[in-house]
Amino acid sequence: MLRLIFKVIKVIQSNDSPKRLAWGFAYGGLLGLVPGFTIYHIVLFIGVYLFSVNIGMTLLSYAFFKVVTVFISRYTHIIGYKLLVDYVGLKAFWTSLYNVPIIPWTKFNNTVVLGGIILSFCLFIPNYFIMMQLIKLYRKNMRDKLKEKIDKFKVVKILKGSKLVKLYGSYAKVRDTIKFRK
Amino acid sequence: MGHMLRLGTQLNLGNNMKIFNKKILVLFIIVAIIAVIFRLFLLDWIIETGFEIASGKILKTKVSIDGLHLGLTDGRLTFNRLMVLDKKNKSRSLVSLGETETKINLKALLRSQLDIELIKISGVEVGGEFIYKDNQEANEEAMKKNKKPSQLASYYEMDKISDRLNIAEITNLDSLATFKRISEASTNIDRVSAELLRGMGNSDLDDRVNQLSKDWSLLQKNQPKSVTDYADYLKQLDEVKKQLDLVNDKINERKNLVQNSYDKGTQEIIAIKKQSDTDIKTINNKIDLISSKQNNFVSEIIGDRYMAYIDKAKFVFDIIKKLKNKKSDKPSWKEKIFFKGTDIPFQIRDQKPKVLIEKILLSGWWGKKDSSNEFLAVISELTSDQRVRNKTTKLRIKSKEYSSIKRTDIFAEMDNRKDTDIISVNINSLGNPLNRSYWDLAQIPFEIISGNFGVSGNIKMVGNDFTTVLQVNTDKTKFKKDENYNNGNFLHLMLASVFEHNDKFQLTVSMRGDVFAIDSNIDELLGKEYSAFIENKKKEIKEQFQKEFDKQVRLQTASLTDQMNSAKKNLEQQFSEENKKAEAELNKISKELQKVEQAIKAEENKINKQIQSENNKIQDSINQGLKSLFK
Repeated sequence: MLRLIFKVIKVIQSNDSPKRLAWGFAYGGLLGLVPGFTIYHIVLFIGVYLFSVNIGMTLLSYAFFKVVTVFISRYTHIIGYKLLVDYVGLKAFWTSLYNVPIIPWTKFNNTVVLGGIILSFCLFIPNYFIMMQLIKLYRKNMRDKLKEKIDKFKVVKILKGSKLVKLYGSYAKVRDTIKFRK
Repeated sequence: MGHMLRLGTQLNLGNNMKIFNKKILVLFIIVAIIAVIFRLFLLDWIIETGFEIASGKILKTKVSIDGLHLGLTDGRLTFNRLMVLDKKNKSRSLVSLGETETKINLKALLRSQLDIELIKISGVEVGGEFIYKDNQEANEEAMKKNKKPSQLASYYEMDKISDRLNIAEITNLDSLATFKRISEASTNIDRVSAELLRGMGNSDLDDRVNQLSKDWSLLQKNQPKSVTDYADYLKQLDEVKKQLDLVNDKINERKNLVQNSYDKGTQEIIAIKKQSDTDIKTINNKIDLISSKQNNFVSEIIGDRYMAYIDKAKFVFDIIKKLKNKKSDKPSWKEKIFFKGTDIPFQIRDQKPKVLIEKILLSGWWGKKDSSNEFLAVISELTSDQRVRNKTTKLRIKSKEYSSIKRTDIFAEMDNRKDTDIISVNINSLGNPLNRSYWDLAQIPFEIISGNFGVSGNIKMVGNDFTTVLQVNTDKTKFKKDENYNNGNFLHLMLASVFEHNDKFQLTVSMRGDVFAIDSNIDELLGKEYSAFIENKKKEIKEQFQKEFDKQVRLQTASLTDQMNSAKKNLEQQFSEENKKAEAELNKISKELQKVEQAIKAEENKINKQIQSENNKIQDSINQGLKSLFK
């Protein structure tokens, strides 16, 4: 739990490149907008380690889009339904896809799943650019102010003063040193 | 991996590649070693243990499986032995499977379908006697439990049945009024006898007869010599006559006293008989009342059991209905919030349903491992979606050795392809062992049967409605009561009687909508046996009662009658001499008296004639004197 809180703060305040953060956000969208947990999610999660994206941001984005999915599932259903049923011309494609081994495990034949996949891919690039701009804006105008404000919070003071945080800080330094040496 | 790649971007490419290759290699080697260890030592064990634990929890009994092996390349799953122990009696296995081989279509598995091409199981033992060695203590406990008479068994003990039929009360003779009346009559007869003896003792007949004799002798001695004497004589003669009448009366009085006493005794005996008739009627009424309890008993024996079955069946069908209806239920709040969309089905080339078991071959034994109990079974096209497969599921079980006295042939077909599910089962079986396990379901303590039965009939289920028509045939000539048969158990008695006298049992169960109907001749047969039992019992009680009652009443009445007769005889003997003597004396005196009276009469006539002639003479003299006077 503590680790997660730090992660969130760290992601927001990190010096990581805006590109990696933005890609992480867009990648999280690919995961979060598709309901359930299928082989699609497994493959994409492996991809998090393959592509140079910020993992923390990906996870945050995944959680964010998971919540969003609850509200938009009826609309993604419409998209999925149009593609799977209404566009008759695509039926042959879907059928042949359905006959490819492992692919049915993605549950793409579900209207909400397919709608989610399509929507997430459509939003992938816009998400990247929107997040990029937001990060740039944030770093330019708000980061220092926000940092000051956050530091003033009593909770943060307590947390920063706690032994646990100091210990974690020491651990992070050592870890970073080892990483650098490698 | 991702981490390594990221490192790769930061450092120069040549070094990176070396580090990358080394690391990858090490990682692959480790993964490979783990995979080999996992495959060789752990996978089968994990599946085996997991299966034992999971199936044990589901079935709530011990399940053991030996020698499981999963072939990852060819999709073969094999094991040597699978055993499910009986929940109630853990000393016996409910189902035991021998060598089993399963062939799974791995290609279909990649398409998210479970296609089991073949399951071949040999050495299936159903209801065998295998004792599980690790469960010795549980076995002993189960054995002890089995020996304890169940509540139901004690309920049907004959003593308790007799109590409920009030047999002890009916056959208890002490409470009957007849015996009180016999006792009263005995006292009364004794009293009458005493009174009679007293009455006889008070009689002064002898004295009177003596006095009469004396008076008569005296009278005879004192014959009248003059007219004045004659007048006295006549007076005395009248006295004797009066005494004669008195003695005569006394004799008659004595006779009447004996007769009256005898009559009183007879009245007492008649009263006993009347009372005994009343008692017999009361007892017979009570015996007849036993029949009125018949319906309750039949209901107790089978009614409750039937109702329990019906309730259980209804419960199961309600669950099935609920499960079926659940599919069409409105979405829950969870489903409304987390909208799950619709799965669109697409045709699959060489389409197969999600789960398909193409063929299951079973061979093994029912009960004892015996060639005559060997069976073969084939289940084909067991699938989760018959519409896709477009084939019905079929089950065929038959005995390996098919004979005219022992065989089993069951054929079942399940058709779910249309909107209404249809299940039909045809059963034709002969020579099945008739043992208590069939009755355990009903918790009837029926452990007395040894014999065989045949069953034929069919079960048809269309949607929620179903009809079952079964006929069970037994061979009553071969029916045997085994060592557990207890003559003192009413239920044993009844059921044994049913099996001894009948060989055809029918059962029809049907459900149309919410109307559940069950019809069988078992209640009728049991009712008939019960009636016969009651009638026999009534006859037995009547006979027993009559015997006891007759014995006691007849004996006591006869003894009283004898007592009375002998008393009468004694009295008559005792007093007949006296009476005869008195009567003889009376007769003698009476005859002499008659003679005397005749003599007196003759004398009177003679005197009267003399007086008359004297009077005539006097009259003539007077007339002559007058004539001469007036002349």
